[in-house]
Amino acid sequence: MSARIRNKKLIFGAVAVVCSAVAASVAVAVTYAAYRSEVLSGNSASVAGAVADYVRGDAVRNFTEPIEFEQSDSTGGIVISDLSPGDVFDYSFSVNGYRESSGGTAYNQVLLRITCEFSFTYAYPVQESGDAVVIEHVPLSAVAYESRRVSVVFMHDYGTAAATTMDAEQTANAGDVAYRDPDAGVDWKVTQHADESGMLVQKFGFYVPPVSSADDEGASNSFAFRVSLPENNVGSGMEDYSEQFRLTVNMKITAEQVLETSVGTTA
Amino acid sequence: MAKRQKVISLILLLIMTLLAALAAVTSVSRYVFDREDVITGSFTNLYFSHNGSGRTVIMEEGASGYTGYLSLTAYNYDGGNISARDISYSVRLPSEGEIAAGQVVDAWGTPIKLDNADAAAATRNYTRVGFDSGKDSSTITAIGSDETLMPNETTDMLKIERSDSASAGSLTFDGESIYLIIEIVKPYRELRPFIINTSTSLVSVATSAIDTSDTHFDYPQYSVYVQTARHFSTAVENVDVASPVKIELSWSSSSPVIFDDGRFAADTADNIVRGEIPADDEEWDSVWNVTSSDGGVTVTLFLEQGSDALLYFYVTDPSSFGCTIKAWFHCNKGGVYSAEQYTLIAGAASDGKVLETGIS
Repeated sequence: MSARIRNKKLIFGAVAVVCSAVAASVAVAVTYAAYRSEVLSGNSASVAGAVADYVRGDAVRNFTEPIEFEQSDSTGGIVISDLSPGDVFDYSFSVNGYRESSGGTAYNQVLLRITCEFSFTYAYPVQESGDAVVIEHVPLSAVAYESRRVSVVFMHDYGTAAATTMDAEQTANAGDVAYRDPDAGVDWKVTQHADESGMLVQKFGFYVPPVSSADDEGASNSFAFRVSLPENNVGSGMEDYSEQFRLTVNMKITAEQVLETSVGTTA
Repeated sequence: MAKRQKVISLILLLIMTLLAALAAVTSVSRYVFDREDVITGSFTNLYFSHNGSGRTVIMEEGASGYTGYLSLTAYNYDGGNISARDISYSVRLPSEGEIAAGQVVDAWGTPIKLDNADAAAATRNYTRVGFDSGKDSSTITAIGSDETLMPNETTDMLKIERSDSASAGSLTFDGESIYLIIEIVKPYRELRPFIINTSTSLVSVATSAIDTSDTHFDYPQYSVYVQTARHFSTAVENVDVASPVKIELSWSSSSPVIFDDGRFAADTADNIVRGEIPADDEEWDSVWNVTSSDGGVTVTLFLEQGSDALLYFYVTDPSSFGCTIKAWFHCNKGGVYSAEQYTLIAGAASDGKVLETGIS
């Protein structure tokens, strides 16, 4: 075997070792981050780190009538009954940079980028030929989109004097999210896109900075969405099946740490 | 020597690369976590019932046709279930289009047949149905004063107007059956067509068993409605129009039938009082009384013109019972009073039978 070939083998071996080392390091780092996340998502207040706490608010019907909601045993979600066609339904919630528990208060200590994602589905029975009944699912829209009227609006600073309705626009890409950043001149905005199944997904985003008090700027972020339920002329149906009418709201709130390093933000 | 230097350089390069990679990867590790929530809202169920179906309305002829009145009570419950939302409703006649189609269609597109073609056709003779008070709709509130959900009801007087045109013809004692529609507008739109009877009789009777939690001590409850014409002047020869009409409701059964006298007294308040039954040759006052015997009860009422009486009976043995009605007008012949039986009671058979079937 010539010296040239031996050198090539050595270089290939070194490259393989470097790749393995990098992969192992990434695995270790991600595992460590996941561990930290789990610790922080618990109730322990002694661990400092990332905190973005989703807090359920109140439900109100027709602007003034409080709704008592129950918690589903199966999904853990909220169950509301006694809605009627034409009702206006408000639900408020908060995403805070602190979490209060019996053990104390944990504060967010990193810069977090929050993505709030929603989908609203209105389902009702439709009688087909004969006695067959099918359930029609209608996605509710936050913008005037195709033949759909605006049925959902989002508000920020809900419950305060600064409560304001967010603008909304239809986008082509699921990844188009407007993250509110006053320094960069980005205001609150809801983006909506239609996925492959036709479901409409609404998103908005913002940042939660490190905080040391619940009164710090950016520590408390209150929101609400208002759903205008369709009147009962949306289509044909059967009165005997009125209990099958459903409004389903899926919410997902994702917090990602923003890394202010030379690598740049990596969200 | 050169070869050893190369190997050492390579090892050093390897170590430095590893350190750089560790530093870089550590710096890109970050927190990513999410929280999901689901909100499910379901529509309220509507439980609604009323006592209008099968009632007989006394129609009286006027200058521009016939006019009758029906005291309609609507409930926010049905079959023991209570509606959680307020219910608002109005009452109307079917439109010409609905009569021609033989059906009404609710907001969900569900057709509700007007199966009785004769009743649908006779409805064309009627020009208007609405609340006598003039209001557009009536509301049953779901929440009581103690802010809890409760069974509730409203009672409204409906005014029914019929044409006496050539096409409609005159109304007789036999009258006609017609459709009315209760149109629920809140919490959502629903249509409830029902049939009533009309007659030119001076006395009408109707019964209904309300299948609700209103059942009294688990006994089926029967409501008996007795209506009198607003004017007795055309009734019987020598009738004393200032005198009430005497009504006798008799129940027979193999086991006791209970008349809810307390409820009747409360409902009628000062309009009619419990008292001794006057003899036929005496002056008649607005009184009522009840006599009971084994398996039977008889209620005697002296009802003024334009009366609308509702009586509740509880049948302990629903397998066998019967109810009959009799009526007498007070006549004055030269200062001598007498009771003349009146047999043209709308809603009853010619022998006065109102009910004679049990509950299956």
